[in-house]
Amino acid sequence: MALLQIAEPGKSPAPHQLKRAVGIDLGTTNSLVATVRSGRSEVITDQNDVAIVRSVVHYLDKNKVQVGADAAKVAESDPENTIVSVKRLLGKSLADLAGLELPYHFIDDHSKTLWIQTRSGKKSPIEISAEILKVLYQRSVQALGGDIEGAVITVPAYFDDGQRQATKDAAHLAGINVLRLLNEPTAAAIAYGLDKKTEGIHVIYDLGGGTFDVSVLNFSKGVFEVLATGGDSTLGGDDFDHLIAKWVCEQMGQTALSKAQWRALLDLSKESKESLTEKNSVPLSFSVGDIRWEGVLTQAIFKDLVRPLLDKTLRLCKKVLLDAKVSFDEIKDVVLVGGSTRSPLVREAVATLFGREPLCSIDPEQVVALGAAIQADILVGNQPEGEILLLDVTPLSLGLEVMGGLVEKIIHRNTTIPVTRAQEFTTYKDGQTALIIHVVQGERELVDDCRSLARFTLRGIPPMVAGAAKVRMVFQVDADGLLSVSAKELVTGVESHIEVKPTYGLDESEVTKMLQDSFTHARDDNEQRQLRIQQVEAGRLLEAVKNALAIDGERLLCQQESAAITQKMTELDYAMKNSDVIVIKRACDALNKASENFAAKRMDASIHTALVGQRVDGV
Amino acid sequence: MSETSVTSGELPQNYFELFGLPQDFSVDMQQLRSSYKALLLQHHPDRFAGRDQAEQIKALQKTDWINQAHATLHSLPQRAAYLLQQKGFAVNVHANLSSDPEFLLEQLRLREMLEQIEEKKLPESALQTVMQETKLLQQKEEHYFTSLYHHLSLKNLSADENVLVQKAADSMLKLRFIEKLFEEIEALQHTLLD
Repeated sequence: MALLQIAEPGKSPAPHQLKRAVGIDLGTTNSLVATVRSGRSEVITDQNDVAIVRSVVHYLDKNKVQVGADAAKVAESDPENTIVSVKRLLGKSLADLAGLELPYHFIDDHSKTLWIQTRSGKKSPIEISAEILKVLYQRSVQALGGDIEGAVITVPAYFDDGQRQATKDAAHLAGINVLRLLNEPTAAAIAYGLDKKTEGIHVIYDLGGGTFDVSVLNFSKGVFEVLATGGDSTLGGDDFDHLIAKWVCEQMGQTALSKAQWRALLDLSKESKESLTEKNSVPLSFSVGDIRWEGVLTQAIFKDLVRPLLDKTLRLCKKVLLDAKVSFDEIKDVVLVGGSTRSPLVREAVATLFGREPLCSIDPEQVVALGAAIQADILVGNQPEGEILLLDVTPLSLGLEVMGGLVEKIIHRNTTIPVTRAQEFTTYKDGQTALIIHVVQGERELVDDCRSLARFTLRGIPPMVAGAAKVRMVFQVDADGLLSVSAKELVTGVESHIEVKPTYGLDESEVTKMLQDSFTHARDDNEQRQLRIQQVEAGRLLEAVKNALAIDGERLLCQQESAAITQKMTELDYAMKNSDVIVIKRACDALNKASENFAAKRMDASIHTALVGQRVDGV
Repeated sequence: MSETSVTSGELPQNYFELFGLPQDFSVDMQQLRSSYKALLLQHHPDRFAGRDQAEQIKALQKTDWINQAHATLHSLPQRAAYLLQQKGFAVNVHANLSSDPEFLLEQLRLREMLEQIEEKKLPESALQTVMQETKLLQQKEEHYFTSLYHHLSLKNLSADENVLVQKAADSMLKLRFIEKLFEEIEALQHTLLD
C-alpha cells in the first residue's frame, strides 16, 4: 500500500490534491469550525474576522432564519421564536424536559420526538441544530473554495446513544458528510498532543458553562488512547453565577426576586465573575425596587463561594484517574478546556491537585474545534505519513434486561471502541416462543435504575423446554460510539436485528446521578441482585415441579407423596414473597429434597432418554 | 464467558501468535501493549476512512478481533481459560470452585475486611492493606497456574492429566475470584471519594 503513495523524488503531492475537511465544535452557547491549512489547524472566521457563531437560531416569517449574533440580539424580545442552547434539547423527549422553564411552545403529540412551534412551523431540535451547522458549513465552503469532503463533529463525552444519533442526523440534514463524532475532551487532547508531539499521559479538565468533563489519555507510538472518561453533566460555570447571585441576595436581605430581577442579577453576577479573571475585587451594585445595595466581591469571597464546586471537580478527577489506573506522578500534563477555566481560581485548584501548572496556551474556547480539524484531516487521508490513530472508549456500560429486572452488562464502560461482544441467553419458561430484548445503558444493577435505549422482540423460537433454546446476543459499538444489537436463536437460526436509535436520550443529570449511584449503591445492588437471582431460581423450580406433576404426578406418585411435594411448593411460594435470600434458599432446598424421589421415579420411567441428573427440573 | 461471534479474518487465529508472543501464561505486558497498538495502527477502520465500504467493514472486523484478543490476554483468568481451551481442555468458566477451604476462608476474610472498611478510622489505608493482600494472593495464584501449565505442557505427561487439568481449572477460577475482589476494591475507592 505504501508503495502507491510514494511521490516522485523532489515532487511532493500538489496542494490541490489535499481533500477539504473541517472540524466542528457544535457547542451549547457557541459553535466554531476549524480546518488544517499548510499543516496548521486554525479556526475559520467570517468576513469580520469573528470565529465564534453564537448557538442561537431565530425563525422569521416565510421560513427565513437568522443564526448567531443577530439571532441572539432578539432572544429577549422574541423568545418563542428564538431557540437558545438547542444542544440541551438534542435527543430529548418532552418528558425529559419536565421541570425546566423554557419559553418555547412545545407540541405534545405523544410521540417521543420533541417539537417546538415557531412562526415558521414546527421544528425539531435536530432541524434547529442543522441551521447552525449550515452556517458553519457555508463559511467553510467559502473559505476553502469548494465542497467539503467531510467533517468531524464533537460531542460531550457523556452524550448517550440518542444524543449522538441526533447530532449525526442534524449534520446529514445540513448536507454534511460526517467522518466521525469525536468526544470533546479527546479533541482538545489532540490539539495539544499533536501540536507539541508529547508522548505520555494527558489529563483534560474541561469546565464549560453547564458541564464538567475530565478525561485521561495516553499518547504513545502514534496512538492516542482514551484511558477513561468521567465528569458531571450538571456542573459548570453557570453554577458559579448562581452562587454569586445568591450571595448578593443574602447580603441585601432580599429573597423574593421576580424572574426578570433574578435574570438581571445573574447577568450581573456573570459579568463580575469574568472581571475577577483579571482583577482582585469588583464593586457591585444592584437594586430591587427602591432598595439599592452596593458591595464588593473579592477573590477571597468568590473562592469561599465556589470552593465546594471546585472540590467536586477535583474529586471527579481523582475518580477518573482510578478508572484509568494512573497515578499522579505518571501524568505528563494537564490541559484546560472550556470558558470557565479562564478563572484563576480554577487554574489554581487544578495546579494544586496535580502539582503542576496546567496547559492553557491554546484558547480554551477554540481548542476543541482545532483538535477536531486535525482528526478530520487525518480521516480524509491528508496525513499519510502522520501515523496517528485515535482510540476512544464507551462512556457508559451497555447491557440487557434479564429475568428479575436485572441488568446483564455486555459492554462495560471505558471499553475501547469499536467493540463487539456476544453472549448467550436462554428461555425461562417451557414452550417460550419469543424473547423480549430490552437494551439499557447505565451502571446500576437494576433495570429500573438504568436508561432504556431500545426494546425489540425475537419471535419464532420453536417451543422447547426452558433453558434449551440458545439465543446469541451481539452488541456492536462502532467508532462513533453508536450501538447496534442483534439476536439469533442458534438452534433454528431465527434472527432479529436493531440499530439502537432511541428517539430520546438520557437526561444529562440522570447520567451523572446514575453513575454516582452505582458506586454508592454497589453493596445494596449486590444484595438486591442475590435476592432477585434466588427469586428467579425459586420461580423456575416451582414452574418445573408444577409441570412435572401435571405430566407424571398421577402416574408415578401416591396421594401422600404428591401432597408432601405440594406442601413444600406452597411453602416456597410463600417464601418467595419474603425478601430474605436465605429463607427462599432453604425453601428451595426443601422442595428439591421433597421431590428427589419423584425425580428418581421420572428418571426411571424415561430411562431410555438417558438423561442424568438429580433435580426434578433437570429431567 | 461470552462466546465469540468475532472472526479473525486474515489475521492469525491464535491470540498469542497475533501479538507475536510465546504461548505461555506469563506475558510481557509491555510487548502485548506495543503489539496491540502496532496492529491497530495497521488495521483500524480509521486507516480506511476514504475507502469503499467493503474495506471498512473488513477493517472493523479485524479491529474487533484484535480488541477481543487483547482483552482476553490482558485478564489473568481469561488468559488462563484461553490457554486451557487451546490445549483442548474444555473448561467451564461458570463452574463452581471445587472445595478449597483454605482459599474460601481467605476470600471470606478479605471480603469481611472490605465490608468493614467504611467504618474504619483511616479507610484509605485499610483499603491499601486489603489491596496489598489481594495482590499477594494473586501473585501466589499466578505462580501456581504457571507451574501447572508448564506441567501440562510436558510432552510425556504422567497418568494424572485429569487431576492436573482440574487443578488448573480451579486455579483459573481462583484468579477470577481475585479479579472480582479487585473490582470491589475499586468500587470502594470510588465510594470513599464521594
